[in-house]
Amino acid sequence: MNGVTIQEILQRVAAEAALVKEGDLKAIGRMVALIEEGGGTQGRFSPLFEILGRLVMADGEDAFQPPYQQLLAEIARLQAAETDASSFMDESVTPTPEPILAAPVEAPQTKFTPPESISAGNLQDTAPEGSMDFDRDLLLEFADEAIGHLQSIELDLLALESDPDSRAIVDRIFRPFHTIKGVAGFLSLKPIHQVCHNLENMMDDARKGQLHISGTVADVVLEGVDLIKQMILPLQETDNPEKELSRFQGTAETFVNKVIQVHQGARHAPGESPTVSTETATVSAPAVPPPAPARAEAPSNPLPKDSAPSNPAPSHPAPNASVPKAVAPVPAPSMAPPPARQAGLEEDAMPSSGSSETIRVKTNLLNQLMDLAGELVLGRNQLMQKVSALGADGHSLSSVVQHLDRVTSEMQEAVMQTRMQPIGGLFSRYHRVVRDLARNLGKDIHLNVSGEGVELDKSLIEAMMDPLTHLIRNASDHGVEAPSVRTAAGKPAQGTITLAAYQEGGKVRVKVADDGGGINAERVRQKAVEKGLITPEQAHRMSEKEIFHLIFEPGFSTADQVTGVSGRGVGMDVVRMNVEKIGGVIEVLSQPGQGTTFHLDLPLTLAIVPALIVMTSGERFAIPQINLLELVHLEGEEAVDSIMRVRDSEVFRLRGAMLPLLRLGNALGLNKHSISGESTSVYIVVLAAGKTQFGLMVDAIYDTEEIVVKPLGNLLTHLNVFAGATLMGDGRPALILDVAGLARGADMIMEDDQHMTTQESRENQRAETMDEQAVLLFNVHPDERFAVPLPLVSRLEEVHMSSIRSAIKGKVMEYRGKLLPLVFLEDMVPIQKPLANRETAMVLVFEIERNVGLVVTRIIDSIEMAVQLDSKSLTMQGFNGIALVQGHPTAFVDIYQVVEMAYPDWFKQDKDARRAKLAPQNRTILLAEDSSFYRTVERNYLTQEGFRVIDVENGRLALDYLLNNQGQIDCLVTDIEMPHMDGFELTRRVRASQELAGIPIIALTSLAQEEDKQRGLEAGVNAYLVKLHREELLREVNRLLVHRGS
Amino acid sequence: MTKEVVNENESFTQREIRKGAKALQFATFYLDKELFGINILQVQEILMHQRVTPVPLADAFVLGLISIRGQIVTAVDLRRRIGIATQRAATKAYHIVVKSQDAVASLEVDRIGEVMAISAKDLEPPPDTLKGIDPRFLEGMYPLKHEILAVLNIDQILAAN
Repeated sequence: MNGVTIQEILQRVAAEAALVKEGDLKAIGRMVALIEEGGGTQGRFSPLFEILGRLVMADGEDAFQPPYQQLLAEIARLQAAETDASSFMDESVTPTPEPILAAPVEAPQTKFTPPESISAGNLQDTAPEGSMDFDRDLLLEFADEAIGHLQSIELDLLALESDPDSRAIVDRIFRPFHTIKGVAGFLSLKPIHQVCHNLENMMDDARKGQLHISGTVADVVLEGVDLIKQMILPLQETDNPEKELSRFQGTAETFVNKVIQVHQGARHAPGESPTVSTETATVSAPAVPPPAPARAEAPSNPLPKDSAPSNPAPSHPAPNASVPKAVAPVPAPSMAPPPARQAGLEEDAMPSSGSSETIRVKTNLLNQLMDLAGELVLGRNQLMQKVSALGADGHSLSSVVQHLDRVTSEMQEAVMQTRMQPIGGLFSRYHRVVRDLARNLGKDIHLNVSGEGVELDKSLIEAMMDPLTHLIRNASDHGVEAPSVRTAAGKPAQGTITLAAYQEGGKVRVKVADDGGGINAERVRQKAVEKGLITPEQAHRMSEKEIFHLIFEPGFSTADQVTGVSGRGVGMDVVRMNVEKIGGVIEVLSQPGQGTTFHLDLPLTLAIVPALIVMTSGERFAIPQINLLELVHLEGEEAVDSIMRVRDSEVFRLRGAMLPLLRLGNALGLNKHSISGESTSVYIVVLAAGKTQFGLMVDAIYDTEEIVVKPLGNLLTHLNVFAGATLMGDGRPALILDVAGLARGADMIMEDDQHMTTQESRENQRAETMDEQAVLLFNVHPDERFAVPLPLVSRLEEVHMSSIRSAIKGKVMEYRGKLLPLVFLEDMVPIQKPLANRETAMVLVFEIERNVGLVVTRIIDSIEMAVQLDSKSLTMQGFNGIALVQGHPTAFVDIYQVVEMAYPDWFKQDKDARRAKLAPQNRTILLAEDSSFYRTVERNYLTQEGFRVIDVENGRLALDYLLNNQGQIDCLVTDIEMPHMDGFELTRRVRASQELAGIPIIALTSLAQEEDKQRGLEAGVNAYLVKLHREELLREVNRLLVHRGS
Repeated sequence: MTKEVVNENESFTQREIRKGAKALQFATFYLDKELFGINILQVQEILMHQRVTPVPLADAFVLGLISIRGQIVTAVDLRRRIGIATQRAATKAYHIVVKSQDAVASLEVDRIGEVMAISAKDLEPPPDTLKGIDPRFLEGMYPLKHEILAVLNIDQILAAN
């Protein structure tokens, strides 16, 4: 029989009890074994034994809790009894060699040395090979659990800073230390035990209100948390925890001294005898040394690494053969006195009751489950094929197979779910990061976290850790300004960093935003030129957005900003790389003085992704849906017309935009010959990789499927056009395309063959795709088509011709209780008359100065399209121009002119008034507008009024023109959304320039939103108008020019 | 728990011998008429003819991908990999699924032979030229009565170039 004291047994049972969870039969078994070993199940232990029996039988959370509470109470009772009995030995326990008990008592100040020599002695006559047979599982479990506890301490400490008087929070901080200490003591992890013990003491004083947790106390607790973490982490990988820990002995002792100093310094109530009362509160088990003052005890605990011989023996079947000798004399045993301990235990039970709904599972096992689920899907598919081949004979099987089908799908889904974890676990660690950084930097920063519940694949969460840490550090260091700077700028002294996650479609978006000073675009520009990343010429032409993106370039760093914490730009390329590596996209936005925002778009999971299956040259390939924009199918002539050759590469026209085209077969070297001549039917998958868009031509397109992504073997990983492989329904593997990898090839082609930088080609594509208008198509005679911009139309009414009346000035109809003046298009412009037999007509109601109705025959469609308006072929009054819409030549009606032709007096007065103030022919207006349609229409408005108009396609060209032709432009009319340089930036730059500052600026937008309007006015815009409204534009131009002229 | 220090130049079988293995077992097979062996501890399984999904742009010795109970494995044309120019068999091939420290792959072979037990001391170091094979792919040879068993170095065969 081993020399084991009741104390030890109770201590070990208590340690097990602290960690046991519902259904953890192993742990319960260990407790039973401990009790049996320690004296059998009769006598004093019989109630405990009985309770353990109830725990085993407990089925479900509700049934588990009551006996669990009883167990804790019973352990506490036994411990208290044992304490009272002091040196009593249970007769059923083999008498313990005296020194085990005596040693600590004899040498209370010195602590470990004597017991240890005794344990060594003991070892020889008992079970030498078992002595160090620590329970590896238990150690791992402890490490896991402890890390969780430490995390909660951190969070609670931070919570305490905002709610310093909360007893509940202090309790919550105290308890985990207590638990960790107990188990660490049991496992002989002495430095951990020491550190926890002293921190626990300090926290206990805090609980009793004798000490206030703030400033240095909180710091030292956090430091302790870090130290404990440092000590625990290596334990997960070691065979010899004691040896591992011995490295920390010095650190631990130094730290313990610090704790004691801080502790005593922080205590109020100087009258009490400080140390003793603290000690007795937590540590008063008399079987152990009378509580030495913490100060004396802890630092002097030497931690000899050979306190027990370290021969990692193969694990024994049951722990009972291996009571670790080294455990025995813990100077400040964790089995603490009734009040504190009991409270601690009971409350400790709370978290475990919450977490008992979850169990830890090895990732390998999950992966294996995932594979098996995939196998099952294959089996199901094969079975379904076979059954359907049986035809009528298989009828009786089909319902069974359907059931199997449904269950299999659900199972696959469920298995996938097991890998999903809330991102909150990752987010929570940043509270600490931000707090520490803020303290170090002398700033006041609040971290605002939302969307913690958003779930992501485990591997993705892990992959996000570094990039997010980097971004948070950056935001703290360079984003948020020092309080004095903030106050001076009229902002609250406390800065805010927002960390938010939300799900959007099949993606998760993570936002990291600060309300700091924003990125200094000018400095970035300079640095990029200095570093040779761009030429001064390019720098001049780049918009702010493009400039900001330079921070992600490798080798970019605004070095003069580097501090101990981080440098804006240092490692941003790594951040981008890490994000892109997991199929994500990162974007940066920044507003001077208002802050910087990073957006990260991430896939939900890496393991199972929705993908489109395509075929080329007889082989199937999977394309991850996250890269997919749209599918295009072209037939016959359409195919020939839309695909063009530019030198050696192909492009295709998609709604006016030109996209580079890649033939998958060629890209993979499967077929060298071009098939464009023979094929009448073409499938194009429009893909995006980051900001690059291109079309991928394939032979056939199948369904989208949820595919399980599997890595390629090391003989294939160098192929960067593939992201992995997956198993198809028929059991055969198919390759998954890496769209970014394919795009890199495509980009090269674009650069070489078109002498256009990818950036420019992207901008141009975007410019063209953005050139879309909503237009209403209609006819008067069935053979002629007309269009008006939809936003100008306020209502459509179908009318009977009979309800149209004649009035003095023309035709009218009743509309909403009033008479609506009508205009018949065929009366104003020379077009084909409507067919004679029409009984009804459509009235397009416009608000042009007043309500007016345009009578037409039929509405054909309303569509969104990029209009390539040809204003030269159709110069007739009443029209803006002509364009090809849905394959038909379509005339765009200038509704202002048409109405003016019908009712000239509506406009005359205004026009005359404007003319009286200003002669438009002497004035030149610069019009910046990327959409050719709006450009044409608005140019018409202005030239018809008599102005000279210069038009340009984007803000950069506008700025160039203004700078090169100073004094020649009287007014700038600009669109807001433009490539290269948007209207806001153009305005800011004009206002910033000495020579140009005074120019009146009118901003035009298709949607006037109050927020945009505000931004525009802040940037220095004089007026903010909705596009296409002629009269307002002319009035405003006139007003500003008159104002300026005077 | 400690990770074994692997000498890059030491083959799997050499390592086994160093660790005290006395008897060695080799799974043998034929490419045309030539006899080859693989340490049986590195053989995961042997499969009949498999349908292979080709991998475009891969090295010429990569046949493609096969699925083994849900696991996707690279199939290697062993002839091309070790650089011998014998005739490809007309009959359907076999696949020997082998594993190295960090990779699994399947080797296509013509015919499966028997498992041969050899005393460790009888394994001879590979000559500079044997059957025209690149010597880095051999870990030893064993002369039999009528032929020579060339023992392949699977770690090298499965390593990326």
